[in-house]
Amino acid sequence: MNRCWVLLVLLLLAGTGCVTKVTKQEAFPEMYQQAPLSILVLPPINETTAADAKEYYSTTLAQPLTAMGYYVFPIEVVTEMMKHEGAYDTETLVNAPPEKFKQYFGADAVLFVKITKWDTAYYVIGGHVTVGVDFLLKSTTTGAELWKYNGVLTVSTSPSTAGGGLIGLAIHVVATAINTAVADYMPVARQANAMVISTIPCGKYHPLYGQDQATPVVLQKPAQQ
Amino acid sequence: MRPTAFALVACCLLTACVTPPIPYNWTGYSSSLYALKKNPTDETLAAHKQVLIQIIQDSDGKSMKVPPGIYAEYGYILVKEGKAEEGMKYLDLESQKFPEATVFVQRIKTQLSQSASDAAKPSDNSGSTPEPGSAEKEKTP
Repeated sequence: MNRCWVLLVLLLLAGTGCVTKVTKQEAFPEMYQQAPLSILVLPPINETTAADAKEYYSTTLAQPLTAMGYYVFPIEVVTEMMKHEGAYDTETLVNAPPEKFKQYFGADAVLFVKITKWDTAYYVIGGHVTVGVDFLLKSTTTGAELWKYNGVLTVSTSPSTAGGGLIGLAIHVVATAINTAVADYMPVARQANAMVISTIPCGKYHPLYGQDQATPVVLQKPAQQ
Repeated sequence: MRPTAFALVACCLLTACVTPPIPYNWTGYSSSLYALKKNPTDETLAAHKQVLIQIIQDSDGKSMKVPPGIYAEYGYILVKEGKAEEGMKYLDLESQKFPEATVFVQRIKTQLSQSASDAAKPSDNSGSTPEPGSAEKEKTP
């Protein structure tokens, strides 16, 4: 139940924040043109100081992506195969020609995931857990950027009631959910994923495939580079 | 798992795509994989294998479907454990259920048989298949 509150807060923020709304078609036209089916998720690039972040985070990606109608290559197997071939770091693959992934794995698109934040802060009156992610999906046929999105999710653990109202209550409820350091990240990471991945146009296995062009998406940065 | 489901549903509502989700059976997957990565031991591996086979056995293909990658992951683990024949069956199932995985499954088989023969002959694993990053040099005109 606690997490439901977190999500509610999120929804409220998403609804009231300074954001731009466009349709999926407007935001990601290439995605509809190329209609990739299979997505190769590379091991995440870890830009944080948390050494474990990448290993843990990679376990949360397959489920939301397949739920959006895509074939997702099993991330564990892909990671091991790449290690076997001497490719340990996704960093070195960012500039590799995307066609290689088509040739080698038969993937229609390749997904680069960057973990930008993975922090816990505890202070006297509370604290928070923050997970930030950047997603970039590239076509393995043309190399074009098909979809990109980023999200930062902070779950406050401050038991403050200063804000009052719904948010004050939510924060209070969440505070009781957060006890240990490492395990906190996973639910937050899953929520960040769900938030970000819901913006991808539906894939071929999804009932709404080819019908969700008009679905609105929220672009957090009006001018996405 | 329920919070995740809730999050997905809520986010779908947010983006106004209110459709029943694809009934992929991911029961236990991310937690057992997380446990395995956090602490790779025989026990956590056995637990993750158990989750994989349970997903396969419990899914009837209608109300519960085996998600992409599960057959391949299970087969891969089996072959690496030396159960080549059984593992290959699961690898083949992956490409039967998901034809888009054919190239991938073929690649797994090639790599696994390579490492099997590498293991047979002592130490020569240099310059076999190029990794995706380095292979670019051959192709770039």
